[in-house]
This record gives sequence, structure tokens and C-alpha cells, in this order.
Amino acid sequence: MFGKLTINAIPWDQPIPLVAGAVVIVILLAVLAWVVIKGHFPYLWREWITSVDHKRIGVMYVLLGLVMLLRGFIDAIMMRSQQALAYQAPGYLPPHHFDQIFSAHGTIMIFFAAMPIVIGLMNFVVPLQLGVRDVAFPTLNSTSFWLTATGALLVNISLVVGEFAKTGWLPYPPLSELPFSPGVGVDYYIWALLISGVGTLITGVNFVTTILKMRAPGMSYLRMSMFCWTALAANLLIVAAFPLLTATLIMLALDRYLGFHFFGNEAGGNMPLFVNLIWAWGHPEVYILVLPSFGIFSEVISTFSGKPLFGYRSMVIATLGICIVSFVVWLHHFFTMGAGADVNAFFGIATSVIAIMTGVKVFNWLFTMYGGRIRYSTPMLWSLGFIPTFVLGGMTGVLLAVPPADFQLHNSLFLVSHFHNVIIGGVVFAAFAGVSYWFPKAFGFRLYEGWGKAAFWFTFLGFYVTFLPLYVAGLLGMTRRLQHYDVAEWRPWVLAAAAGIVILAVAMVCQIAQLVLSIRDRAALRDETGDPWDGRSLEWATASPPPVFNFAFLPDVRGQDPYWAIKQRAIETQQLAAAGEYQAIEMPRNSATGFVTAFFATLTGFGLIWHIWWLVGLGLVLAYAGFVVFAWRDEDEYAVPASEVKRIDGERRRAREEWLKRRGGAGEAA
Amino acid sequence: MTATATVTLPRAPGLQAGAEAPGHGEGGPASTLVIVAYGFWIFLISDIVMFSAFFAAHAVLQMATDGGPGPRDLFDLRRVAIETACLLLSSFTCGLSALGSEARRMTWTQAALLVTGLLGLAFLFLEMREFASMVAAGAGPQRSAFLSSFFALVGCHGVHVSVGLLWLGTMMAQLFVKGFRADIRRRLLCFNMFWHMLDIVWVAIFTLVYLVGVAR
Amino acid sequence: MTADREKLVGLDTAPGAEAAQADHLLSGAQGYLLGLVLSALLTALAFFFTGSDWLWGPSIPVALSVLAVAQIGVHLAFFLHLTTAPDSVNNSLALAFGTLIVALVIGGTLWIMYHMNLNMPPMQEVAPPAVKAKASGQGATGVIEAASPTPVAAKVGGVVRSLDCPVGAQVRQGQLCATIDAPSLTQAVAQGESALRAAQARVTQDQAALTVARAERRPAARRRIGALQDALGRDEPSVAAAQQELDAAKARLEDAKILAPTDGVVLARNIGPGQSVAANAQPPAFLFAPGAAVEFKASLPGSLAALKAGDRVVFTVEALRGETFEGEILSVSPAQGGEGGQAVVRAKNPGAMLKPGMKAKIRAPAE
Repeated sequence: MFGKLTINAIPWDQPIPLVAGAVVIVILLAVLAWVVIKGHFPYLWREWITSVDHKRIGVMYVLLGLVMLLRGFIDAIMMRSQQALAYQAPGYLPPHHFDQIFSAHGTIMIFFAAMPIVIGLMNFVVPLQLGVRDVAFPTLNSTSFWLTATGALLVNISLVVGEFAKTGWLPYPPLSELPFSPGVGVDYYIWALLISGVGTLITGVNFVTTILKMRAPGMSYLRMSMFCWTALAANLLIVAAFPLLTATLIMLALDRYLGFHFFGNEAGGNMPLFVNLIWAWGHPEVYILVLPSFGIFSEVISTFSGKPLFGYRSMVIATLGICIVSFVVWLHHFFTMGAGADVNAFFGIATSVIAIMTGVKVFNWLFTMYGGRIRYSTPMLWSLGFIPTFVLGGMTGVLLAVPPADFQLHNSLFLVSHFHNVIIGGVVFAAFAGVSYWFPKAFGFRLYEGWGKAAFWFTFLGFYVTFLPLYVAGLLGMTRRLQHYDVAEWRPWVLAAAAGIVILAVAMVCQIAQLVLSIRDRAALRDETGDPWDGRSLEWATASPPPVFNFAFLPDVRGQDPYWAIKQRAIETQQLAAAGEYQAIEMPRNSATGFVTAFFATLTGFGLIWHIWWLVGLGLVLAYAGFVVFAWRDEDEYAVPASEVKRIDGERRRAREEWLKRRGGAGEAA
Repeated sequence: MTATATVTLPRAPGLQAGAEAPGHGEGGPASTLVIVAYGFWIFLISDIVMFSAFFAAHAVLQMATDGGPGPRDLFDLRRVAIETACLLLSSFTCGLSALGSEARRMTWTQAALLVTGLLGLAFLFLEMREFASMVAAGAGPQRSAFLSSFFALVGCHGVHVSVGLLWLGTMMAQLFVKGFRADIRRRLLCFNMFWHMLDIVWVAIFTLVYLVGVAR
Repeated sequence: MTADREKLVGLDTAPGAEAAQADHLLSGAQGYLLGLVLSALLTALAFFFTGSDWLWGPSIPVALSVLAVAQIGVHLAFFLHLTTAPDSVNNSLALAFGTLIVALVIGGTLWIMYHMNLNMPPMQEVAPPAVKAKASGQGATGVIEAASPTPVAAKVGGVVRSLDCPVGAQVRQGQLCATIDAPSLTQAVAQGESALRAAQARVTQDQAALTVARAERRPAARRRIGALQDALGRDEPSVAAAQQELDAAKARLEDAKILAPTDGVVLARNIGPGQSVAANAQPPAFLFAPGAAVEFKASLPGSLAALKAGDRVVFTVEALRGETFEGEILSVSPAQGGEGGQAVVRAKNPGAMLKPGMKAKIRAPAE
């Protein structure tokens, strides 16, 4: 009746997950109770859960990502502390538990922290920067988010019901095959990723279509913002790479569930085939994360230097070059697997080539700053911290790209430090830069700068104190994923890294404090005009937060940095451009489809994991029924009346006129 | 079945004849039809990439018969030829339904869709028979890696055909109830693209899996 | 709306959409009919080439691929209305992007995995084919092995220049399986040639000196003729000897070739192209399974437990359905529990149909 599920799936005999799970459940129930008792549920359902507005969806993505970043960080604290204690000692995490922790850490950080934050920022910003009202497929957008949330939910459920994979964040066979992973851990991994992978793929389709087919009048490709270019490249990579992940995980699932022999030891299975196919996805994946991050830095550096981005065309070419070349480097993740010198040489050279285009970008950022008037606000600090950090990580990457060197360093802590170097320096710094940059736009009030700067400095310091010692440990021969070790040489470096994680924990506390205190004092921190940073791109033309339709009139774009031109004209003429005749605006209706689909997907996934076949069938049938119900609706849009548009826009214009009056004419102090 | 709640936008002032058209360069956003169809086209491209992973696995594993039966022992080319004919004809009738939909002829469209569905069902029936006979002869997917990759690749195509038939039935019902509304016509266009793409993938399958397998 | 379309530059069409001018059903259907006929033709050709010998065998997969690409093109053009016209460029570009990714994934995977497989040890050593006799509850099944596998080592050291006879391939006796660039042998030949030339040069010199001496009239020169004739007599045989040495060196060049010793199947190949090999290195360069006879071990089911060495049995092979084979039991290990013992069966292998790795199942005693 319940497949493999029994009451003993709950880890009664393991205190750590039991207590952690209990704490989380208590918090969840408390939040739920507060929502219901205070009567917030109808608001939540109407404005957030069933919303198809890209801005709301973007905020939910980022929220999901930040919460999972916290969970992944706690896993990291556990790993560092275990290693600090486990010198010639067992530590406090038994091996099978430690294995699940490092697997969950990687899986959560990549799929449920970094991806949602990056996708969330793209969701919020790209339609605004393109000057349009929403993405191409708003309801599918909502579905994407909720399917991603389903994946995150399944991974978190594995903490209290069953177990997680013990294979590392990529489940190499034969360890991930049934004989060596007979439990449900790898199944949790497979179905969480297959389900959220569908969501991500739909996002890719959505954004490629939006960027290529929906831009404001006058916005040719070469007038798009740099963030939109990098978003385009990243989403093309999603469309091209995620199907490979889907196919490979399906093959693994067929092996585990139906006794197929794709990757097993027997009957002709080929284990390196898995490694090859999964990294053909895995390498583009990291560029999916880092390209929009580069885009965020382009925006922030340009805005806070008060100059247009240097070398726009070369940036575009570099971005597209990275996009294409990222598809011919994937073997560098398995130089040691035995393809031989010729193959290794080709991929090693291609990997070095891809660094050239990133170099072009770095120089363009530096030249953008040169000669500008730099304002050291929080987003700019993150960008400044990114440049040396990412360059260091990139250089260790080029070192690893040399196959003979990689034979020494593969799967050592040197490798671990390299990829944390580029992901933290690149993606995490960009996430915080982007969140602090666009937070006022999304919520209508700023964040406390002081706490933000403190968070930056502790993160910056903590990163180096954690990972520079691990570079050394790697060079001294320490491999990754060690539950315990007894080499005295490594000990001081492991202890130093543990100190670093404490500094990072302080940074995390600063981030939470910044958020909580800014929310508490939001009235005092209000963003009146919608343009708190003296921005250059179209999102700063709207109020904070923007109305549901984004723009009362689609902007007429005449050049790059379109909002800058509009703003300068307004300052020179000391008046806003004349408003035209307001029209009613049709917007897509809310829909519960996304949430409902994801709900049934959760049931289906859980049933597949625990072999509860009737639940699987029920989930699929109900999901299909949900599609049909949605497809049957006759009204998919509603009209915002012209009078309402006029009223909302009127407020925005009044705030801007106030600002213009206070500012004075061109040449006077800003 | 796509989400068609896209946004119709008021034409921006100043768009004159000779300017770039919507959805192109400086012309502003494209029409809903173009947006929906292009988005679905991109999705089909991603589906092709997924099939290519299964093709790659099959190419690598095609010799891994573990001493068991190989292509010459198993493939009945006559049945494959009939399956091919069914699918190819169904693509043709699907095209006829698109013409009918363009001309707003309900009977023609529904009839063509019905024939498309029946031919698709015939294809599936033959394919299930093939799978069943292979399993009965001890040549199921659990026998060897070659057979695993065969069943996964051809089976993936078969699953796509099945989902397509489910979609087809739903479309026929929607067409019957709601007529040639703009969003229904957009969905029919998406279905057409999907069905033709399935036949394209089948061309690759019958060539590379069946014919090359036997000719090797 | 059409008027607007004409005036605006670069209006894109939706992929797959019918042309706006196709207002008559039948004229639109012509395009689809043409597509159908062309596709059917290309399909028929593909099936035809597979079964016939109109084309040279190894080129058939290439021809089939060309036909498939052509048919896919027909589908794209006639069914999906995808063209390179300006209004369809975006759609074609998207397809081109997808095609590039597909080519990289399939091409890259094949290239990488081919090299991985080359560098893996023979599967026999890593994962012998599983004998699931007990697990499946069926006894009497065994895996065919070569009766007396013949190792062939490289006779000289050098670099592998060319390589053939992949694992599992059928070979004829004397078939060339590998050639080795053996510097020692080629040097020997070169030395032999230069020694021969030197010997011939000495003989020519002696003859010339003799002719000169004979033409002399002075008695002092004529006294030297004897010495010169002696020299010639010594040097002439050395030419023959040098020729013999050269012939021998040239014959030893044959050592650089590795030939299949008998008809049979290649069991294992332990050298790779471009690899350096040493003479008589272990493991041997090739392991051949003489086709003449094969063996397999299987447990005797209860009904046949009474069979002993010398008895003949009938067996079938999974991969060759519809055939039966006969073999002779060489030995039987003692029975244990309710099961019969392990029998070793040897069978002749005419036509080399039985290959190592195949699964054989004992059916009944032979009549």
C-alpha cells in the first residue's frame, strides 16, 4: 500500500537529522499558523501563489534560493567542523551521514540556491530592461517556479523521511546503481532533479522567446542591456544543456527501476558513458550560473562608475563566444578517466581558450571604472570584490586545464577550492550584488548600507580564510570528501579553514540582520522616486515597486542605456516627457495551474521514490486533468482600465517631478 | 496545451510603414502567434537535444550485446517499413488538417486529425507488438546494454507519440467545443510542429537504429 | 492587416505556419503531397539499399545517413515550411543552433568513448559475462570460450604502425593483424644493403685493378696480377655472403608483421595504434581463439546427471536461435547436493559460428 515506506524511514536513531527536521517542521508550522490566523492566506494565494507576474515570481525564486543557501551553508559548517575534529579521530558525523551531507551540500547549492537566485533575478529584471510588460509565457513561468520548489521540497523531505544520496552531487555509477545504493537516497536525487529540471527548461524556452521576440519599440539587439545579453546566452545554454541532464538521469532511473544496463557493471554497461553525458550538461550549467552574474556586474559597475559600459560590442561577442565554447570543454572534468592524450589535449586547449573571453570582460569592467566617479555602495563593493577573487579562481582553473597538472590535482581540495573560488567569487557575490541593487526596485525601500557593507567584508575575508588554506591542503595531497584523515601536514590548514567558516557565519548573521532591520524600518528607508542609484537602464524608469503592467506606455528606445537619455532630456528641459493618451492595458490573469501542477508533481515524485505506484498514477492523472482544466478557460486576460493606469502613472510622475524640482537643472548638483 | 495568456500590447506611437516589423529588430514585440510558435519551436529544439543523448548512448552501446542477440537476430524490417509508412502518412494528414484549420473548415480539419490519430495508434500498436515479442524471446531491455539503449531510445519516441495522441484527442475535443478560436488555432499549430518533429526523429531512428544496425 | 505586413520590413513568420496565400485547400495540399512522395521515395531507397548488394557493404551506413538527412530536409521544407527566406531566418537559425549542439554531443561522445574503450582492458578481464545459471533457476547454461586460446606475441620491439583484427572479429589463417615499425629490423636491412654495396664496390675495384694490371706490359705490374687475383678471389664470395645476409634481414622483416595463426576469432588485443611494444612482452599482443573448436562449462541438470566424460550432448546457443549443435563432454566434476556436476563440453566449430562469449545451454544427450 505504501511501497517501501515504513515508519522506520524517519531516522529515529540519528539525533542530528531528527532534531534538525523537528526544528524545521516547528518553524514551518508556526509560519503557517501565523498566516492562517492573521488571515493572510487569501492575500498570499491571490497575490503570490497564483501570480503570473514576472516580478512576483522573481521574488519568490530569490527567496527560495536564499533560504536554500542557508541550508547549504549549514551543511558546509558541518563539513568543515567535522574535518576540523576528525584528525585521527572519528569526528561527530558517521561516514554514511557525512556522505549525505556533502552530497546534499552540492546538490542544494547548485540546483536550489544558485540557480533559483540567478533565475529569479533574470525573471524580475529582464522584462523591465526590455521595456515590455511580462515574459512570453507567464503561466508557464509560474509553473517553472513551483516545479523548482517541488524539487527543493523533495530534497528537504529526504532529511526526515528516508535518506539522501551518498554519491556526491553527481551520482556516478556504479556507486549510484542499485547494488551499491539500494536505499531511496539516489531516487530522491533523481526525481527532485528531473522535476525541477522540467521547470528550468521551460524557463529557458520562456526567456529565449522573450528576449528574441519581445522588446520595446526601437530596441534592436545592440541596444539591449548587457544583463539581457548574458541572460539570452544563459537561457540558450539552458535550452541546449538541460535536456542532456534529463536524458542521463532517466537512463540512471531506468537502470535502478527496471533493471536496464546503461551504466552497470554487467551485461555491457558503460560507466564512463554516464560521466561523459552528465558533464556534457554539467559544464554548460556552470556557465548558466556565471554568465548572468557577469551581466549583473556589468550593470552595477557601469551604474556606480557613472559611465556607460566600456566596449559594449566586444562584451557581446565575448558573451556569445563563451556560450558556444562552453560546449566543447566538458571533458576537463574527467581528464583522468582515460580518454588518452589526444582527446585530453584538445579539451585542455579549448578550456584555456574560454578563459580569453572572460579576460576581455574583466578588462572592459576595469576600463569602465577608469575615469568614472565611483560610488562605493554595497552592490559596487561586491563587484569590486568579485574581480580579484574570480580572476584568482580563473587562474587556478587554467592551471587545472593542463592535463598533466590535473592528474595530480583531480579530486583534491585544490579542485574544491578552485570551483568554490569561481562560484562564490562569481555567482554568490553577483547574487548579493544583484539583490542589494534591485531590492529597492522590488520592494520600494532600501536596505541598510552599513549592514550590507559589513556582510560584504566578512564574506570577502571569510572566503579567503576558508579556501586559501584548502588550496594548500590540496597541493599537499588532501583529497576531497574525507570524513576523517590522519596526515599531520594537513591539520593546520583544515583548522584555518574552520576558522574561515566562522567568519562566513558572521557574514550570514549580518545579511539576516540587514534584512530584518530594513524591513522593520522600511518607512524611513523608502525609495520615493524609483531611481535610488541614478540608474541607466529602463527598470529605473518605473516606480518602486513597478505597477503590474510595468510601463503605462512602452518606451521608445533610441540608443544604449535608454533610461539615461530619457533622464538627461528631462533634466535639461526641466520637465518630464509629455504623457500620451492613456489606454486600457490587458494583462494575463492569475492561474493556479503552476501550483497545482507542482503539487501533483510532488505526489508523483514521492510515489516514485518510495515505490507507491498508485500514488504515481494518481499524481500523473490529476496533473493531466489540471492541464486540461487550465486549457479550457475562456478568459485568459483582464483589462486594467485606462483611468486606473492614469492614476498609477500619475503618482509616479508626481514623484519624479518632485525629484526634478529638488535636483535643479543640468550642471547643478545631483 | 501551452499557456497562451500572452500580452497584447498597444502599438507604440510612431511605428510607420517602412519601419521594422514587430518582433524584429527595432519593431517592438511580435504578435502572439509568432511568440507562441517560436517558443514551441525552441522547446522542440530542446527535445531534439534530449533525443540526441539517447542516440549517443545507443551509438556507444550498440555493440554491447553481452553475447546475446543483436540487430540481425531481432529486427523485422517489414514491420519497421509499415510503421514508417503509418507515421509518414500521419504527417501528411496532419498537414492536411493544418490546411483545413487555415481555411476554417471544421469537418475537414477534424477528419484529418482523426486519421492522423488512427495512423499514430497503428504505429504504436505495431511498436508494442515488437517490444512484447522481443521481451518474450528473452531479448528485453534487461538482457544487455545494447537492448537497454534500444528500448530507451525507441521507447522514448513511443512515449512522445503517446503523449501526442493524448494531446491530439484533447485538441479535437477543444476544437469541437470552442471552434476555431485564435488560441485553439495557435495550439493546433504547436501540435503540427510536434507531430512533424516526431516523424523527423523517426527517420533518424529507423535509419540509424534499424537499417544501419542490420547493415553493419 | 496584409497591407500593413507589406509595408513593414522583416516581419517574421511563425515556424510551421501555412503561407498566408494558401487560401485554396488543394493548392496547399500539393506541397504536402510532394513532401509525402519524396519522403516515401527516400524511405524506399533506404530500405532497398540495406537489403541489396548494389552498394559496397561498408558504404551502406553512409548512404543511409545521406538519405536520412535528405528526408529530414524534405520534412523541414514541405511539412514545416522552414526556409532561409528573410521571414524564416530566425526559425532556421534556432534549428541550426540545435543541430550544432546535437553534432557536438553525439560527435564528442563518440570520439571520447571510442578512446576510453580503446584504453580499457579487455572486457573478459574486467567483467566476465555473467553466468546467471543459479540465479535464474536454470542450470545447464554456460559461456562459450575458445578451446585452446593461442597467444601471439610481437616478435620484435618497435612502434605499432598499423592495427587491424579488432576484438571479436573473425580472422583467416595468415591474416595480417598488425605491423610494427621495428627500427632494429629496418636498420639490419639498411646495413645489409650497404654491406652488399661495399662488397660489390670492392669486387668492382679489384676487377678494374686486375684489368689495368693485365693491360700493363711492364713485368713489375704483371707480377701483381697474382696478388690481385687472390684479392678478387677473396672478395667475390663476400658479395654472395652479403647478399645472403641481406636476404635474411629482409626475410626477418616479416617478423614485423603479426599474422593470425589459425582461422578463428580475436579474443583479446593488448596493443594500441602508435604504441611502443617490446619483443615477446607479456601480455601477448593478441589472443586468438582457434575457430576449430570451442568449449564451455555448464552444470548438468538433474535429468542429465548420469552423463560422463566421452558422452555427447546436444546444445543450443541463445544468439543463434533455431540451430542445434553437438559437443562432447571432456570431463565432469563430482555432483553436489541435488545438482549434477560441472561438465566441460567441447564442440567443433565449423564456419566459426560459435563465438566466445555466447551463451550455450545443454539440452539433451545426443542420440
